Amino acid sequence: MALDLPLHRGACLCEHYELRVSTRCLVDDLDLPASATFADACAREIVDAFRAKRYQVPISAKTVGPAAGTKTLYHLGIGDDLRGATWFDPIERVVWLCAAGFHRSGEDEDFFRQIRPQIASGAVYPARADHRRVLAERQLRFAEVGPIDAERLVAAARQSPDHIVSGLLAHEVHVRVKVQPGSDLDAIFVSFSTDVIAGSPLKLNLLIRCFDPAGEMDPDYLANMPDEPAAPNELVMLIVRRAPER
Amino acid sequence: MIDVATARPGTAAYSDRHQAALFRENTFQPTAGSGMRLRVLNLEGGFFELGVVDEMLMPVARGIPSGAYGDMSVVVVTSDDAVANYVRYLASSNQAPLWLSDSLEGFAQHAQPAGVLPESEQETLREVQRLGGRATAAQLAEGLTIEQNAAGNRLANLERKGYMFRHSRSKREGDLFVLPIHSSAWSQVSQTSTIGFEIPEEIRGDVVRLAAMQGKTPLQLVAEAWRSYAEQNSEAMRTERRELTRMLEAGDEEGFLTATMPDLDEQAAEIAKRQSENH
Repeated sequence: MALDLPLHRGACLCEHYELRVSTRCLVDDLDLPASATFADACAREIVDAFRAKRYQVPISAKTVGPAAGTKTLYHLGIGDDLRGATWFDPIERVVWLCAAGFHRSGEDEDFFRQIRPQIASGAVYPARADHRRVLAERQLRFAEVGPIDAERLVAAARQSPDHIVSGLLAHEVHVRVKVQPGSDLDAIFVSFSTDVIAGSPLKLNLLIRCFDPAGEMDPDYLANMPDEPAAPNELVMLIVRRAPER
Repeated sequence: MIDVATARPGTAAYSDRHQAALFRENTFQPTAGSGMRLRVLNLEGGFFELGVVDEMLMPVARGIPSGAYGDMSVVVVTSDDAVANYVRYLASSNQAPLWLSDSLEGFAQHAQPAGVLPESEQETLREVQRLGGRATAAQLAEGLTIEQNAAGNRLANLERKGYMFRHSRSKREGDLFVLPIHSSAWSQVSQTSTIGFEIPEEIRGDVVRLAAMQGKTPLQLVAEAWRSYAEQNSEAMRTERRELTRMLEAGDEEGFLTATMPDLDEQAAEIAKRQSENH
């Protein structure tokens, strides 16, 4: 169900990409502040339709304006007269609601008439501020949601000590977790691919921070998960911490 | 006649666009030659982000119609609807000869064009498939009971779109049109699998040699280097984690972003620039 999709700040998180509303569309077309969250924007019927119609497939069959290769704008419609234009950016993995308005055949304020010059000038597409917001919010999301996801995975792994539990941190980084529960201390094994670090020590530390936000632990680094060899590009860390009270 | 190779990306390329680009470069090499090629990109069983699929296929989808890859057709094997939809989008928006199949075993019989083709051309593909993967205009005309000129036009249109390859022959014999996905047209089949790794290009050769000397793989060496780094810097990293958490708890988001993404504005400007160049 579209309504179950997680929202975080300006994004609605789908399986393979995010849905977002461009700042220009928020302010000029939807009469919302530039800082509006996706949840705020869902108060507008066209944004709710955007979420419902684009959460599985990022494009539609009809275009707004002529097909323009990777810059093609796709038609979004609800009811008799609410219309929108969406653009899928596969590189940044975002489907943008770029414009919204009312279809008024033959009138000056008709959505399709008004969007024409914006398409011609390129103003309809997301601007630099939009891209900044995407990058910043993804970083904040990893810092905010990552530790919550990490705790959830650790709790699940503690429930099944014979198994390795796999999952995503902040909708982004795949990790595997195994817990060996003790009476006082738990041994928590976490493995992840070195690919996700992308050559950045800071990225590595942000990932460790998901499991140690307070900066209290000194993880050990191992070659393998218990009873299972790690993949060649996997890092395994071991955190020992107090077991939750039973 | 047609050189066929299947390739399956390693797990490193599932979510990393750099790895995907390396994989693409290995798998789909531009050519100045005249050989006919079919490349089968096997994404079966993997969980691929669309950005990664884009990195693997977009330059290829753009490059084939421009002639950069010579005579090449590409089959994408996937059972992921989102990936399949994206491949359809790529094929249609670039007029690229991409095919889709939901299994590797059956692609020669069941692959479908990912681009939108008129019914007459779809019928032509089906008929050439029935005729054994190759046909002249005269054979197609007979099979579909249409005029030979009309059959020739259909085949020529499909060749122009890259869904057929043409062998030029004498006027008396008539040109032979070949369906690239049909196994009867294949001259050799090879399999490749690429596992990329994140090492700067300049030192990659050294890392590969060093790993070989130690009886390890380059990936193991990279993982060991990270382990060593984290162990040697554990105290500084712990302090950094504490500081980042303090900033977030104090609501100092800009401070957090400055500390963790000092080039945030430049990155945003770079994306905006790249996109405006495409407008």
